Amino acid sequence: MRVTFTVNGREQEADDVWEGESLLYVLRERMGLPGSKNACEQGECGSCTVRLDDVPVCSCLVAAGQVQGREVVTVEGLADQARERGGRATDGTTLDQAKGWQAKPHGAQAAQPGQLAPIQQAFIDAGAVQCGFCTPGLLVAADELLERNSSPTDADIREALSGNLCRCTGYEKILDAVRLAAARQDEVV
Amino acid sequence: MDLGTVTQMRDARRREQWRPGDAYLGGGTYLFSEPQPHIRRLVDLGSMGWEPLEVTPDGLVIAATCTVAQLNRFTAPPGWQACHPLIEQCCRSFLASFKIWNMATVGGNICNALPAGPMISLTAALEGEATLLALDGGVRRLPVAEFVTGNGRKVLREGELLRSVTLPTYALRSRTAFRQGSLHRLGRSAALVIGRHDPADGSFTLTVTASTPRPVRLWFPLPPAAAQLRAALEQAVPPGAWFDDIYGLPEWRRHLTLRFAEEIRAELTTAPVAPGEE
Amino acid sequence: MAGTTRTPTNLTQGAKADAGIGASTLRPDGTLKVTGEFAYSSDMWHEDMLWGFTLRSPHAHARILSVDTSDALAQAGVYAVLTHDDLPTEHKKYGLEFTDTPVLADGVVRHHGEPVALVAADHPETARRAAAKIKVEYEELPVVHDEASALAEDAPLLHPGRDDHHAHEVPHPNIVHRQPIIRGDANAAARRADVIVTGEYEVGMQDQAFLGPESGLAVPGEDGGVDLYVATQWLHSDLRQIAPVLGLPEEKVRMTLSGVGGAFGGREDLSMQIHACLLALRTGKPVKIVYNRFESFFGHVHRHPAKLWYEHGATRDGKLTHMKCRIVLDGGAYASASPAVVGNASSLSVGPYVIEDVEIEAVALYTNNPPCGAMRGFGAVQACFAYEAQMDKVAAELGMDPVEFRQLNAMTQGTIMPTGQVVDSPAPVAELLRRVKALPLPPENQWESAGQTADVRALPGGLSNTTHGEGVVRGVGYAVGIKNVGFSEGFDDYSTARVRLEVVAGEPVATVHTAMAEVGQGGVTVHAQIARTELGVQQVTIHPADTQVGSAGSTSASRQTYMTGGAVKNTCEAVRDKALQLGRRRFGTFHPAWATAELLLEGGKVVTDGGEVLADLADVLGDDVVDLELEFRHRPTEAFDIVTGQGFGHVQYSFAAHRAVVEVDTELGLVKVVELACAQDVGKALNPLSVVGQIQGGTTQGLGLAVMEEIIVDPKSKVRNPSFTDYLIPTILDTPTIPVDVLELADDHAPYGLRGIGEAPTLSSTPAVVSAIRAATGLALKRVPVRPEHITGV
Repeated sequence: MRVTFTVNGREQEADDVWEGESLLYVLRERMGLPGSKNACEQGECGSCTVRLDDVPVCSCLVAAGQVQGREVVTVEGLADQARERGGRATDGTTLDQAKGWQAKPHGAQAAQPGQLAPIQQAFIDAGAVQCGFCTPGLLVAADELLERNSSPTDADIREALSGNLCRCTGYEKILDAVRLAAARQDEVV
Repeated sequence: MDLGTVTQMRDARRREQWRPGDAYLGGGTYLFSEPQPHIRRLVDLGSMGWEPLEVTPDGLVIAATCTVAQLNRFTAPPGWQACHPLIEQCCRSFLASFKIWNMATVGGNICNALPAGPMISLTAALEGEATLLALDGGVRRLPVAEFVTGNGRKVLREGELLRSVTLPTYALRSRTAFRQGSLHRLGRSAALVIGRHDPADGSFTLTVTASTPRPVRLWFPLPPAAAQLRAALEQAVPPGAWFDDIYGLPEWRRHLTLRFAEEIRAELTTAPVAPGEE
Repeated sequence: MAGTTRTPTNLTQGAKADAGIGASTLRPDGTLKVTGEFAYSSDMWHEDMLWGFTLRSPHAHARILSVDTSDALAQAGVYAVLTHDDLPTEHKKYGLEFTDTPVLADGVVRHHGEPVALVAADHPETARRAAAKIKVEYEELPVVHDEASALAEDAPLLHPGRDDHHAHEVPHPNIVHRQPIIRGDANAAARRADVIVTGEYEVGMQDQAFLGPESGLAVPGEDGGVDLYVATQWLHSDLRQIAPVLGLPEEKVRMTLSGVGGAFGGREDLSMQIHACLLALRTGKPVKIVYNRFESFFGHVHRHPAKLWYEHGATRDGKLTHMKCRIVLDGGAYASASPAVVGNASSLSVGPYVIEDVEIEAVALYTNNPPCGAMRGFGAVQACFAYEAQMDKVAAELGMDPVEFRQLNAMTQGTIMPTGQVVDSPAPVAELLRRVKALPLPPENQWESAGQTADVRALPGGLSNTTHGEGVVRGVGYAVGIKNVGFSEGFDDYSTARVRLEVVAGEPVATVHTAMAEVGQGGVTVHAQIARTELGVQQVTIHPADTQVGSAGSTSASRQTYMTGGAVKNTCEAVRDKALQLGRRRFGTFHPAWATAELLLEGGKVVTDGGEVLADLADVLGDDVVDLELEFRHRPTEAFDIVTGQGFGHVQYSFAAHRAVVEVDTELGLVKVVELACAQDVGKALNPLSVVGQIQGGTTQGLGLAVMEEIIVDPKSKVRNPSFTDYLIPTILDTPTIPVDVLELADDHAPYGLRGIGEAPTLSSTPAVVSAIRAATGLALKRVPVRPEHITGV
């Protein structure tokens, strides 16, 4: 079957999708977006977390067919989403931002330092990345948390990230990273 | 994970012949987490557009497609004291996190019929009645506690679908108490016990789930004494009948259940503290 | 689908001037990892690639009577189906220490999940379905499940006719290896003791549970060779085992490390490497294999479950008199790293204490249980759980404070190990204990805050309203451990580093190329820091790890910063010397200091140690390139004598201590770890941020072993819980705050005085947590992981 949906702001189409394929498989193997990870494919580890119509879900548990016509944001789209978010809180993109708008080239591009979403930069700065396999899922989940709650307590952070497993860090520096991103968000506002 | 044997996704609005290997798809959080070699076609209920939650004169009607997240956000009308905090407590008893809440459905959880299904616990404890629709249009209703008959077993017939669960007003006006134990944070429940004390007729109902393969309900015309409750529970779940899996030994589940039952009994037989009093 | 092949790339990082050793420099691969662009082994992709799948045994012990692949071959989309009979050479086995593991089962399967056949197809689901059509007829055989069944007189022999280097030393053919250690006279010393304390302990089977699944891509080359992109811990060890099976010279098996999603010992053995190469060479097409989580639990070795029996004696003044112990490790069906694990368990079984009279025996068994091998801590974890439990018990028997008792008997520099080796660098055991004890305790009753109702998230049972604070008891426990660093027992371990120094766009830049497997530990960051410090450059490029450079040894045994960091330092020093020679030739006549002074490279310049600048490094180099590849070795070690266990067996020792604070609901048997503090001596913290991250990660794995993690093997030797649903690793709700106190007492034998750090925190964390639970409950708790029924007693 053919599945058409918006990924990271761009409409994408995948053909010859088997009916039983998960959204995760379609993203990784058919759309060239391997950022979402396949650590368990059972909804236990959270490494496949994406936003589906703004809501964080485990993409390994979502049938590709259920995504038809909807909007998906993956880790590869976090930086752009953060940039757009700056204008979304008011009545859309501000004039200043619009002046700086440029057409995005087709295809993925490695981000330059400074082009990362705040949560991404915070993860790097806080030492929250070791092997990094859990990182994409955590970033999507943490980004959603901070969007919803700009001053989370430690208990709030732990609860929000409870569905994301990490085997390398013991989570301490991940907590540091989320606090750092929240604090930086405060500075900007 | 990918379900390799599935060859077709169908929109549930188009009524078609039910075939062996068909399965209804709610949120997908259970279906897609395990291999399903017997399933060939998925019938997607997402497009049915059922209203997730409706307050009616009969009580609360929860559509099968209502997600856990939607249920958790429900604000009860005044007088329905059973809803808070019980609904949130049950939602939090899921084996997993917010990401599951966003996709998992009440109906899906009930139809999986696993002992630790918190939606089974919630709806059975609140006297929920399931409405089942057959493909020929026929309608059946039965209590949720009778709908689930064992570990993964329910009385759903071929092609029949769970449309909704209705929680009657009298149950929603009851006072409830909740206890749950699991090995670890967000682990699958080893025992989940809910008590309901009906202010209208004084009756006391205890619903045991997760530590037994199917819900076990004990009803008393008036709140029992501790020894009476314990005896009734031991008789209702004899040795060998406690559920056994990697989430807890049967002996430990029994231990938890007995303790929880007593705590609930004690809580519900103590007059509630009115706001402002301490 | 984007058409480019996705393979590892160079990591280039310019940096501020203070990004040499000792700085908390950020990872050069950090940006790629947070944007999702970092290419892990399961992200590899190639035009035309096929997917491989492995058919595995459902039985733990069975004879294979027949294999019929015809239906599988007939399926559309299938390109190859291979069994043992298709192996191309007379080399049909591989292994880390013994070559005992069949590439594909040869007439018999010895453990649940053993590979039997391979399929290559154009879609992973096609490959899976075809594998399901392979008809294998098994005849089940009696299962060797434990010590009794393994060592019975008529026990089925797992490997009859074994001819490995331990075969003639062991008392029974189902013993993989046995290492006794005798020093002094334990029996005579026992007679001096006022108290004698024995205990029997058990450690369950833990799994590494790295998140990145076993995976990789094999691309057949035009020269008949193969290019292999894989996640592993030691490229050259893999290569040594892969090439003979394929019948290729090593130069024709070109390996590149692709991104590794964690390892912790679970990737030391081969998984899909040979399989993917066989399929690629057979089909002439690239073949990708990715295990799912279920298969992953069968696709790698686990930590040895262990039964340990200990006896300690002590005099009333608190001094230990002697120690006897017997450690039995269940090695499962194949040897893997079992012999080395035995050597470790044995030689480290005394712990960081002074005991001169000891009698020790450690063995590993062959059974039909899942194969066990390397996991972070490597035999020392099991021993530490037992000896630390003993220390608490002896202290209690003497009526002494458990920390003071340990400090009284603590090892120091100059202590002699039970193997006769002198500990010839600082061993701050008492100090580490002092530090964790001195930390203020976290406030009690965290769930009550000034009259408000309980935040149930802080209670044992957490979110689930299980308890309201009544019946919850706090306990505090301590533990300290000793781990060796590096490969031991006479192994000629070395690493290699190639460093290239040249001028690019007017600036001196360095490229570092090693075969080191970066598995998350941060080696790539440290190599760049070392190059900056030694060569005074800012921009450093880390070349992808591959077999085009000499071996870097294994990313294990806490050895990489020492060995490959040491190799990078060593090569940089040689590169510096060459650069200075160039400088002398070019500029020597202009300044006497070129000939007389000690010269350094700093800030892109040649400077004297007095700080005088002699030249820009860019001018010194001009168009010249300095490019050297050198090996680096540590001081040699010796084997342990097979009777007495004596020998200078270890390169270095590493020490950590923990304090655990737990809250236990004694009625329900639920535990919450409130704080797990660690003090560790790291010699020299080359990157403090990374060091603390590693210590916190290791501490958490220890917590997992203490209260959560176990592979359940049933009496038929089958794995019951191969999924993250049923094998529980700590989530962020399970982990406590983990304060870390880092000491830096240099080991003068090591580069920069550093100590390997990765494993020590996995040792003392587990017994500290259990000690705290014992303090809260008064229960003996002799087994890990501790489960609720152990606490409630039902």
